[in-house]
Amino acid sequence: MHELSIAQALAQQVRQYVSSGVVIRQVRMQAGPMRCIAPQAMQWAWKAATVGTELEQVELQLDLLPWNLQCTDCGQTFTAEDLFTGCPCGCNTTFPVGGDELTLMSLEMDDSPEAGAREPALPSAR
Amino acid sequence: MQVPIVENVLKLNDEIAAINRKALKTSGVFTVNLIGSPGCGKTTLLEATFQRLNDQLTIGVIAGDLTTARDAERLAQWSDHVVQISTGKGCHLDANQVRQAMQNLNLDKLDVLVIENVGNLICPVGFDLGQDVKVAMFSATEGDDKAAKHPYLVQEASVILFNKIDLLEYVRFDLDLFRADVVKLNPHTPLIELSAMNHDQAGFEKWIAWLVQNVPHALQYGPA
Repeated sequence: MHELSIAQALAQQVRQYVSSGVVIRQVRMQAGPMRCIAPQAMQWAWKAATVGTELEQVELQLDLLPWNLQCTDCGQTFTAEDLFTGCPCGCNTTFPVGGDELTLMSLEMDDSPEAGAREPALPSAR
Repeated sequence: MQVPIVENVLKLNDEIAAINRKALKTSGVFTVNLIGSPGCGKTTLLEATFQRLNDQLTIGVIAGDLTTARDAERLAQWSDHVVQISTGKGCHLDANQVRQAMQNLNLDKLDVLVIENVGNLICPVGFDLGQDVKVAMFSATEGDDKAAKHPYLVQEASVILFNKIDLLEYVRFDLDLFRADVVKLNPHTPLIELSAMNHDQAGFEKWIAWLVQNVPHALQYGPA
């Protein structure tokens, strides 16, 4: 359910960039694994947070980062999908580095003269 | 046209949290954001803490719950400085709710403010409220995998409380596994094992000592 709060905060943030003559097509957000974001729940929450508003047609592109683990023995850093992945050196004493990212990375905007005039296009398939 | 932004999504919340933090520091209040599951013993811990410290420190509480004022009513027996936030549908407290609640507290009279967050191990962690520290609370009845399953809370906590140790003999709980998970995620954070219900034991006194030792730490910041 924290996805909804994050979606509301994201929508509030994106609204600051809304201006006449510019249509926002896509919002790109990056989230670290600490944030425990479920992609489907996040997409649903984004719809719920934007329905009936000027952001209703804006697509959410979610980039989920893997764990960044560091080995206490050999010091090497590697990425893993699972927090409890052992180090390739064979030891099992790794700890996570970072992981709490939650960042609005970019907006895809259309400022062509006809963009503001026509209905916002459906999100493009990516 | 792709326009790079690169901004923290919770920027607005963090800005209000900074205002809260400044006000709390100016008044010399040490502020704890207490995070744990429903039923892990947060309110019981606070009742016991009041009982133990009421003649030494003035402790205020902001109690967050979805509905009811039951926690605040329990705690109001111990302190005049208790404010309830009913979040309605929110699964965590945010900085703005705390800011409003703070207006109903006389901060200059407080040594410690405990913000008892909504019972939840995930959502509250990412929302800065303006606290000095986050305190994570787990309990024996929740199962030994809860630290591993909630890495963000474990990593963000300045102290981790493990409650209901008096029930360990009745439940299936691998304490060594739990301890190992905590150390992996946050090797430098003290883990205090206690029973808030039977608060005459050594573990509870460790919590009290940890809390008390932090109060002058907050004072030394002085006016922001």
